[in-house]
Amino acid sequence: MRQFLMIAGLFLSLSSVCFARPVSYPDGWTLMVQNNDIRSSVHVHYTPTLQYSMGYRFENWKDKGFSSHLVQRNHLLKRWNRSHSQANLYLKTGLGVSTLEDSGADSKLSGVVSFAGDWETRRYFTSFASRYTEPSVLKGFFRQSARIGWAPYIGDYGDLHSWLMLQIDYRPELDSTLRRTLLLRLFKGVQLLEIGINDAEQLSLNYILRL
Amino acid sequence: MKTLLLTLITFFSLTQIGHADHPSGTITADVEGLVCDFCARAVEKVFLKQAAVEAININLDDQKIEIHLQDKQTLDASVIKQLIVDSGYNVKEIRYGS
Repeated sequence: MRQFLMIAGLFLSLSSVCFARPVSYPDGWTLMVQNNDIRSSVHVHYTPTLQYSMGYRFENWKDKGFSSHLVQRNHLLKRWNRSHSQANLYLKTGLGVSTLEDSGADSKLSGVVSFAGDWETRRYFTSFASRYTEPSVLKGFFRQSARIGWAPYIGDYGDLHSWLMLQIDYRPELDSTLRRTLLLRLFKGVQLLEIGINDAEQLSLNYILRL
Repeated sequence: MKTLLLTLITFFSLTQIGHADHPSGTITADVEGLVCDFCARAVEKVFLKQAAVEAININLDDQKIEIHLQDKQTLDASVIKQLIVDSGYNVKEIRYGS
């Protein structure tokens, strides 16, 4: 039980803005849990059409001491399908309320907007994301994130797939503006798990389930 | 003899029309963008919602989707194309097998 609570706690304490595709397939549900040293988030979304998904998002910003409950829309702006690659551009917008922790203050209207893209082959992966968060309870802030990834082996459909990834986060308002995280991405079937460690030796744990 | 020839011509004509409009058995689709197993689950989810589809095989190396139909079931090319587009991929070619 203690181990379970520790694992659950870890899940609810990591994250990144540059994680995985936010639109799945028509009538598909997705659960995304992210946890890192500065933020935890849970995002559940439903995809009515290939063009967008809608869902609920919870975020807890540990470094800033506030939490948000948002309704988020993820829009696929453009997809390029090629013989051995795929690329995507997304616009994500969220609206909801944020609350400062331990302040007793009322919740305030909150919003986020994010622009993200990715390109991948079966061997290589790159992605980026830029996001502005306006919590109202604090000054708004930007975050940028980029990833490169490499698959050490090429698995068949249904195999366990592994990727090694390097993520760089740019956080202009913090003292340590750049953070580098090494990640191991594993996925099989409808589940994806990422375990990472950053240059401050803090763990990340991300999980996606598609139904 | 004339009747026999007429019957044969009619039979082969109908067979050809049958293959074109009411494909059945196994269908292979060549697609573009099929590079990720996790994302390709969409193809499985979308196709297996169709009553006519028994199973599908996905070949990431060759960018192919094999669609196995239930006995005596059909799936038109336009439907297959739309399902692949709904799954997030482009269709290059659809071929009907046995």
